[in-house]
Amino acid sequence: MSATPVARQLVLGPSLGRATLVLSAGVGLLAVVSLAAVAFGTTGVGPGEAATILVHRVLGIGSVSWPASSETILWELRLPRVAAGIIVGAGLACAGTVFQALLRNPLADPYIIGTAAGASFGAVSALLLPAVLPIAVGAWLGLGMIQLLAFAGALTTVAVVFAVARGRSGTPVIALLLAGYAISSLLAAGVALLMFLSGDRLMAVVTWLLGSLAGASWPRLAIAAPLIVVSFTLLLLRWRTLNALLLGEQAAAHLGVELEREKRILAGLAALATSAGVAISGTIGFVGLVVPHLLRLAFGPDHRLLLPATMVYGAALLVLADLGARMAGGIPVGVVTALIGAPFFLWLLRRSLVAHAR
Amino acid sequence: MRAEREGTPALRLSGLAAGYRAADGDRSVLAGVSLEVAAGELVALLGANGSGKTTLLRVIGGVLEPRAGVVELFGRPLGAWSRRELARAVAVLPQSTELPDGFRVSEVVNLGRIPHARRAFAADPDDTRAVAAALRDADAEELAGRPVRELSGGERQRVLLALALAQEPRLLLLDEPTLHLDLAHQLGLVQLLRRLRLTRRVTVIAVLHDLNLAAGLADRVVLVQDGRVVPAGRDGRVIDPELARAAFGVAIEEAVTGDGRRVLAPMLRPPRP
Repeated sequence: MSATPVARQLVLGPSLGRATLVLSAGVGLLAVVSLAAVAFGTTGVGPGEAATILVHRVLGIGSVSWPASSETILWELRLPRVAAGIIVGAGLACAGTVFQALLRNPLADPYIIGTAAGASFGAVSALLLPAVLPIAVGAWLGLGMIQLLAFAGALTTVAVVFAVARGRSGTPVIALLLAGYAISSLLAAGVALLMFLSGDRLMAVVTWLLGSLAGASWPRLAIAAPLIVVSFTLLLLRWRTLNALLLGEQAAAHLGVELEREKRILAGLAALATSAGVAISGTIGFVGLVVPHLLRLAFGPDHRLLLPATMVYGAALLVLADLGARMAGGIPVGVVTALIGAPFFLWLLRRSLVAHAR
Repeated sequence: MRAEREGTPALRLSGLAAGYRAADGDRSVLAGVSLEVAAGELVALLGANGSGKTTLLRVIGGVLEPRAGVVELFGRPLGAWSRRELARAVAVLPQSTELPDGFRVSEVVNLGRIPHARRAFAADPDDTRAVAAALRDADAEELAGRPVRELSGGERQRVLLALALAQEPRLLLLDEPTLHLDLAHQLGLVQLLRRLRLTRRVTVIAVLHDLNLAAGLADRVVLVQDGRVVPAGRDGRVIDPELARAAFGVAIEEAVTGDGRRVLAPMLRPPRP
């Protein structure tokens, strides 16, 4: 049968042209903010000098006319920080998209089933542990004990939440949400107690809890990045499952989705990306909540385009927020994302309320 | 397509038992259900609330594990089907399904192509043809470009039917498809289903509440009563008023219309002894 005129006009999803436009615009935006974040800083290395150092390091062109400290600032501080912003921002936004689809809850973010609370408890414990053994082990790994315990804490918490929420005929989404909330509250109480007992280390604890990319370094990225990239790849391949879940679990099952298996895989991968990100940056809020909502509004709910788009735009947003945080005198980036994110979220909410009233 | 013996039934249930686990022990819903549905047959299920109609559809649709008995689809035990294989052969129109905001009708119908996907990212060339055919057969062609949030109840139902048809199923399970529809749309849906049987040669099992609608739609009506299924017809009638009375526990009278057709009328008052 030849295609009818109607068949030729059918829109079955975002067209290739539209996807290309959306993603290349995102990559362009990400490139611009990344270059800006490398070029600007409070430490005396100006954009011109940054550019010549970069050209020299990457392409081997030009002669050295700058102090070694400038090169260190650029190569060991700013670049890994921007790279961390890209990876963590992409990871949080992508994980947020997955959790919103999986839990069918608009308030879902990457932290909803306990990753943030688990990571916080792990990191704060590490901050306050007697520092003999951790430094030895951590130095050997090129990681701080903080990062290690944050990562382990996040993943362990998600595993516990899943174990608690598991019933005889599967894992209901509402049980995941409630178990995540209860266990997060328990861990938050533990964090509060540790903070109360922390004495003169309180500032370090608070700084970590607010989220910062200042601790980014190449060795830490080398461990976190592959974990996040692997999760990305496997999540991207599951776009059809996420689309089916938009119809509800029962309907998704009738479309061939192995519900319990897919739930564990999706939540596991999203939690892995989140945990790896949180380990190097602390708990940065709002990126994983706002970016998916905004992009869904702008580009539609089809995960074939939405998932890669959230990665690219989430990365751009976090790099930009971190540049702002640095330029504002080194305030934690989590404060900046909350300052941008919360009003923006309110605007989205108002907009949808007004739209539905029509 | 697998080679199939001519005359293999679309569905064969034998000694089926099913139920749910509850806090206060197990609740049995179906026990000793035996039923055979021929390929291409149109069967309506009738029964009181809680009699087990939806449970039966859930078992046939593969989302509820039976406790005992045999379930065979197209001659093959249900347990031998993978979820994806099942989704390519059986489509379900549930009582209610949320339609995700932000999609157009054609995009939602395209979700029915998910079990047929063969490539990681690219769409299948077959998808456009299948979606167009599904929209046409569900009488939803003119809705294709509309955002789903703007649809009326009757339009939603046709879109959901198109989604199910995009799966290109051999067996279509419908759970109260007329639930939110006005009279005209109820009759329209019945006509649509009868036509589908001719154009797609699909087997249909539909849960209905309206006795006359069921009698008008189906080749055969089956009553679900006390966890068992019994034929509703007797003595040449598709639905026997006596048997329907027993199944629903209300007074049901048979009347004959001016053009000689039998209709069933549930009565408000109990019958006199």
